[in-house]
Amino acid sequence: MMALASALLGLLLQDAGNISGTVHFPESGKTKPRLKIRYPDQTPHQELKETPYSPALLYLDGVPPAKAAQGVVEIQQEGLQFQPRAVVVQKGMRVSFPNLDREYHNVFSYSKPKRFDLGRFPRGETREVTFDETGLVRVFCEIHEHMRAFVLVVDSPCCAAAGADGKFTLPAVAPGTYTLVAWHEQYEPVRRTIEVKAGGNPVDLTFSKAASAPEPRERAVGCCEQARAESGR
Amino acid sequence: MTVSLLVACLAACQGADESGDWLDWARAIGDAELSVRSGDFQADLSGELVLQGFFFAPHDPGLSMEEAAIRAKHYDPTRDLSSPDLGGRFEAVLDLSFQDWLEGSVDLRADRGIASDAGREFGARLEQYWLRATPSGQTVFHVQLGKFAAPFGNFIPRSSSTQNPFPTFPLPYDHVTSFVYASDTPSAILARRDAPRSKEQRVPVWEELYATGAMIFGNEGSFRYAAAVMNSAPASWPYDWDLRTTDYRIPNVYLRASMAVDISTTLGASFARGPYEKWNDYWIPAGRSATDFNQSVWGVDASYSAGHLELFAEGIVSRFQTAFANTLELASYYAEAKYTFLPGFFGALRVGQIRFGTVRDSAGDRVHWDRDTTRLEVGTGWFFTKNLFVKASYQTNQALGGDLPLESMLMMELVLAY
Repeated sequence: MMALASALLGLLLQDAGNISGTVHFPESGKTKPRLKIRYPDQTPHQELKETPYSPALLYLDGVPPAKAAQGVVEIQQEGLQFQPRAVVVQKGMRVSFPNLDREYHNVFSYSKPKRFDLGRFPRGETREVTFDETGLVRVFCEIHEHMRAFVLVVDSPCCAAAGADGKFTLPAVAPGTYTLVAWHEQYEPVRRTIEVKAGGNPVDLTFSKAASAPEPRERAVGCCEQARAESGR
Repeated sequence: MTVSLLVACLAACQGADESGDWLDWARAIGDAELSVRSGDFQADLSGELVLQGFFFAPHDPGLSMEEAAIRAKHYDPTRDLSSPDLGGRFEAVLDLSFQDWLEGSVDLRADRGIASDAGREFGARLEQYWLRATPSGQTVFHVQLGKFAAPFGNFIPRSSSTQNPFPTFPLPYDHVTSFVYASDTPSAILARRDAPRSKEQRVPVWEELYATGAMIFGNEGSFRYAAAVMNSAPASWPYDWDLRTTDYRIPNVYLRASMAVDISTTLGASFARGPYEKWNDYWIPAGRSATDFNQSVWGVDASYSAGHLELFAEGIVSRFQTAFANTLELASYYAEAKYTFLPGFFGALRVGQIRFGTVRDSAGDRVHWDRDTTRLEVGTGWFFTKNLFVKASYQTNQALGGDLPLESMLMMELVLAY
């Protein structure tokens, strides 16, 4: 039975199309987040790293989830920053928050799709959260006010984060018409109806309307490939 | 019954949040980054709006209720307090930076306290304005000039609405004593013990204590230090804090050191010494000045946190030199616990006591110069979003001896930060 299912899946994916392309960002004023020390007792015990690059997150709307999502995506706390700054996960997946710093962190969110408070935990320890409602979850640290991250929870197995160069590749899907959604913390989301052909097709997306401000730099990892890597350990 | 009501309220809040677009406006305000950058310069704007409600017994008035009015220089000791009443505060903080070595901050506050008789309860002022240089680019050494919070104790650094689990301040920071002026006689001090309305805001340590001066501070590993010379003592009145009233001929000295024993535990010690009145020479004996009389404060503090639990404790000993009552001593402490039960929902308990030394009364007997007092405070809070939350606390103050009744106060605070 399993062999038959596997063979059928293989036949389907022979005609499946990859969606790859580039996300373009308009120029925006870049500000540098600062560690605000208002009192001597607030000097940090370790160095503050630069704010990580904030990637664009993409997913294909209208792709039915094949099964309950599993796997873990990791957001590290290092150098008093969340790294990566934004991830996209399929509904039902977990996100782990390892603390790599010498200081406590207290990761929390009061967002609509998920309220959680992981309490204070030290270096070397990890806390996990399962995201079972779709939507945008803003993540903060109760101790370090400048720290923030975003978890975009989607009901689609086809999702990924763009690289620092704006390039992205979504997992293969069967040919058809879908809605491609791109999200970035600085801009209004972009929705585009696309026709996926066998063999794949390139897509270019451009963010236009600014929403807020922090600056991009490095690369973050998307849900599908990261989740596969984690669950395959 | 109470627990059921609390659970129902929590459920309502939780439901509203999940269903709710009604909180999106608050999230939008919290998400807004009010920053501009031009070359090596950057400016960031932040702040908060605080609304307060007070419900208190006729004999109360804790200092927290009068804070706004006295800071705005509209304090009127003949005021009639009525319960319930409303207060509030708007704060805007402009943080400036140039490259990585120069920072500055300007903190504007406007607030309304409990109404005075004349209705002059609204005031605005620059609470802080300072420049800070970090020559090495490292946290080991900073030098700061301007008007800012004096480095004393472990409460002031966490006195913001977000970090203080109560809308009120710990007992050593807001307990009004019967001592007022350096020229007070023992009989004047003793006469005020059971007459709250005749007291004049002389507290051991003034809440956030934004004095003017210069400070060096920094940290090396788990050790933190700070040393400052400022124009005010911990017990000086707020209208002595300003740059315009600065007198450095006899400065006030502050020293603080703390050590993180491990990631969860920090121990600290503080010291302050200097005159608590610099301008009021009335009734001071000929040949002497108000600046001859110092306040000396020694403080120790500890904090512990792990998981959802946070503990804080602090103890101080204060000595006031006076012209006619020798040295007035007091000792005070508080211990505080906060526990986060659910995401955004916490409870807190704070216990504080203050014990006073003695003076000789008219019969020559040694008596306590004010009523020893025990304060018990329970509080709770709920965060609708990261930047919109409500806190409430119930406080009792039990004085030992005298004829003051048990005082109590319920205080609620709604905060929106941006």
